[in-house]
Amino acid sequence: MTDPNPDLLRRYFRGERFQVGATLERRIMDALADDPRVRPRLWPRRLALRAVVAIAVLVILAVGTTLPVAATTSPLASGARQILSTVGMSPVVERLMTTQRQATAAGHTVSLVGVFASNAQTIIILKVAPAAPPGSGWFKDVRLIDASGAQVEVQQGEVTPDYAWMRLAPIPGVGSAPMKVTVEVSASFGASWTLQFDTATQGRFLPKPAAGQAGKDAVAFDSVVAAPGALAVDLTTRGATLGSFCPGEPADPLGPTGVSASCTHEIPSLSKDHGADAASSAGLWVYDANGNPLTNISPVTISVDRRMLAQQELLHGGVWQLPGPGQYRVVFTAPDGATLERTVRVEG
Amino acid sequence: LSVRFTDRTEVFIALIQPLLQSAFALAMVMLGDRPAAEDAVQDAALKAWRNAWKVAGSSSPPQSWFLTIVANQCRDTRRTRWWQVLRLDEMPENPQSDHAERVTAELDLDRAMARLSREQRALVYLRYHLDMQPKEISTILSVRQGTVKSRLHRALRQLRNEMAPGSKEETDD
Repeated sequence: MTDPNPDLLRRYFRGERFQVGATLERRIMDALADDPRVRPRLWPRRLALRAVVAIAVLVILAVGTTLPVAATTSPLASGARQILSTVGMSPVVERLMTTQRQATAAGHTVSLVGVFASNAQTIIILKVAPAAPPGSGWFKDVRLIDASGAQVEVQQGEVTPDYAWMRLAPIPGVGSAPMKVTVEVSASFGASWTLQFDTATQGRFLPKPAAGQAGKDAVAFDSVVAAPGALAVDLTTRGATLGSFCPGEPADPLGPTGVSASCTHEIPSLSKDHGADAASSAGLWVYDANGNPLTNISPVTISVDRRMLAQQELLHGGVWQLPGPGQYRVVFTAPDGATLERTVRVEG
Repeated sequence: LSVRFTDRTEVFIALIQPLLQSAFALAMVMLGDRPAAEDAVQDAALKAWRNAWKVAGSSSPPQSWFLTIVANQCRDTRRTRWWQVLRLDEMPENPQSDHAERVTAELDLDRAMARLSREQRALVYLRYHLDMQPKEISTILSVRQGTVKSRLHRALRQLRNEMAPGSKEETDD
């Protein structure tokens, strides 16, 4: 037996792994000297390719469908509303006032085309027109600055020549009071764009649907939040493994040294025939009263950490475009095909 | 701290720079991922700057104060849901060295440390590398002194169990 004696522990912590890198000091110095706001973190190391699908789906919507725009007292400018509707997201930002929805620099106009902000996450979609040449780096850096001047952490994102989709940490205090939020985008060729929006209204926590069983999986809802234009559902399952929802993931996704893992579901096709197929696929789905699957604003992500792994638990979370008030079916399909279905009612 | 900060660079030199190594190591211990640890320390440094005025009137030593910010930042990072798999650095499979026994012990420790929770790893680091007392650790990790002692005891016991002969096969994939 090798005892973890203090000398061994001290030697361990003196190891190269724990030595600060040469660039960190300069990085902090730059951030301090440059601005009170921190320089944006490095763009996510492993981008979710499936996020591109989310954007593509929204673009397809603009061509193929006409989405109802709910009557609203939102102060969102009509021009902004039109831009949002072009990607099928007009209802999503009814809750937002955009005070500076687009900006132009170096011949490119960057527009804020979609925002979803909750106490769990922030999702932003930007569009650049005309599209930037591939590899031109129009989206080199991005900062989301809250009302206090603090930067909101970027957690995941994807960039195409004409769109950028990103998921960020929640904006502090987003649930307490309206506030002005600034989005700064800078390109590698020197151009930069500054946009602003005000959070105006808040989503509502709907009553949690009853927990239940889907085959061998126990299902418990953590939260269901309805915002004007968006429905966010989070639930925890116990029983199934990450690999059973995300083909290709190892049975033990964390391995001996992993801390946490997540995978992202693909956005389902919007064709009407896909609804029935989708329900037979393992995962989390939301349907309207006519049985049509709602469009994802943010792809469903399934995640696990070591504690949850030990409990055979998984977190499932997604955000869907909410056409308006009404009844919606939330369906969880277990890997063995068993389903749990709950109805949520969104009031006007 | 008697320094009156007049600009940000001075803040960094006076306050953050001497603590950077211990702050980074703490973040690395808690997060197990170098880029994530660097991000956490950077964010913590900015928060430290914004709150630098507080430390002047604080009874906490600057190290405890800053490491508390770093630990909180690491916890905030942990709360995020959208991580990919984070893994500790790859470990050599066949160490060849005159100090093979020592290296083997360190590899065993490496594996055993990976089995601890982040809070436990932070406890062990603060206690055995920075030689902090439970009171100071309790401030940094925002837990009671008694909790520090009990969690430390459990962490060491778990380390011993993990490093015991026969447990290696269970921990290797």
